[in-house]
Amino acid sequence: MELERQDAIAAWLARESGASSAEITACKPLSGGAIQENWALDVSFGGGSLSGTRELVLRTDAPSGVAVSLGRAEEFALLRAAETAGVTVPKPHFLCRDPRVLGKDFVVMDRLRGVGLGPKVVKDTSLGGDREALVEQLGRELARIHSILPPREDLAFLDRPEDPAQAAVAAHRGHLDALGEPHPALEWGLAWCAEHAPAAGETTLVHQDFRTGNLMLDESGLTGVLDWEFAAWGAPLSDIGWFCAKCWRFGRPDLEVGGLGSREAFYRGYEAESGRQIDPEAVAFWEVMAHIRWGIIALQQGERHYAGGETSLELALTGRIAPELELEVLRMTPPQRWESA
Amino acid sequence: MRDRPTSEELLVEARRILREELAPELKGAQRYKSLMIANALGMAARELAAGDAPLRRERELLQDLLGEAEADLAALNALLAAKLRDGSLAGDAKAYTVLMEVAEAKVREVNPKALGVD
Repeated sequence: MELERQDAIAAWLARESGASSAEITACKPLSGGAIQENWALDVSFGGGSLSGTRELVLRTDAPSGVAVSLGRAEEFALLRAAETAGVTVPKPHFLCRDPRVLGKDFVVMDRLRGVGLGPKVVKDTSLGGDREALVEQLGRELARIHSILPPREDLAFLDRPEDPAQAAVAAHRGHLDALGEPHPALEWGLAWCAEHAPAAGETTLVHQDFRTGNLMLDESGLTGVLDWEFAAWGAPLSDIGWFCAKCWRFGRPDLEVGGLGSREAFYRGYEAESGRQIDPEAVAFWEVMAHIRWGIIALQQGERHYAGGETSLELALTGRIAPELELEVLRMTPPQRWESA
Repeated sequence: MRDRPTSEELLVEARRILREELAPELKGAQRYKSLMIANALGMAARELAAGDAPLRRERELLQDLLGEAEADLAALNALLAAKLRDGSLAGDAKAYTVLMEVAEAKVREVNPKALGVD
């Protein structure tokens, strides 16, 4: 980041925090986030609400915004709401909507300690503390997210589908049409979902990307739940299906909760905190939907490479994992599983 | 005709050097990138080795399932997709067998390891 930008940010941070001075002592780009730009900032504040030396993250929209994801102002509101509901999140400090500072919206939040990267988190068992205790805690964390209920004035920008399962089927069919190439295996899965959708139940806040890879862990446990830009009002069990789906286990299919631990421990934490009973059949439905959704996102990432003017081997390879997800969708929905509609 | 070594043979050796000799010397983002390149080379090599056979097989399967003489694979896939969406082939056992065979063939090219387990 250019120095004059850093000066403008430092001056803005001083104003926002009521400090007499703020100096950026280190600034480097953070990897991760195919959609946002993230910078690690070390800032030394003279007085004010953040007095002292702080390790912060500055998060902006990347040049190529993805239409379906929320902007920074919305993400800031979500982090605030989650923090208030007792969810472990990076503490959100300030939102900047003044284009004179950086030329685009950005948020500043605490920088979390630990590791998020899925494959590393699954392999390195020195992270996250006792894994069964960790997934039980994650169950409680997710339950707290689901304690946030509509309507909420501060979250009025969130979509609120009447029937989340059928809305997801319709949305995914629309995404496939927009991609412009036929994907019969995903159509098969969507047809199954259309016939086997659980009845629309309670609507809560859903994170929609609560999974290994977006959970920061250090030696002692969870340091924060990241990446709120897909949040919406929806079916709480959809988040459980997403987190438990086989495609997010990073080489540990035996550990059904994100490659981290057992379903029993996770469900125990969730049920204790929420007071809700988890319907395993509805979760199974959402696991099918999870593979369809991830398959479609993968195809969209691939398209960004070959047609979206964003050349990236990572995006290109992500596009090519879609067949694995299609195969899993088919394995989960054989003809005998259609009869019990 | 082209000379040997074939493009597949070239890619296989290029990938071996990248994985076995270069990647272990690299760290962090560079190592990650070298493994992504190895992955891309592997996929391309497997597709070259398989040639058109999987596509011909897919065409046969779809023509038979749909009772269509249409030769264009994209058109056949679009027709099957439409019949799944309108419900006329949804849940159909023969359609399922075709979809499974095609999906497995694709996975064999993009990530054969995924077929090894379960």
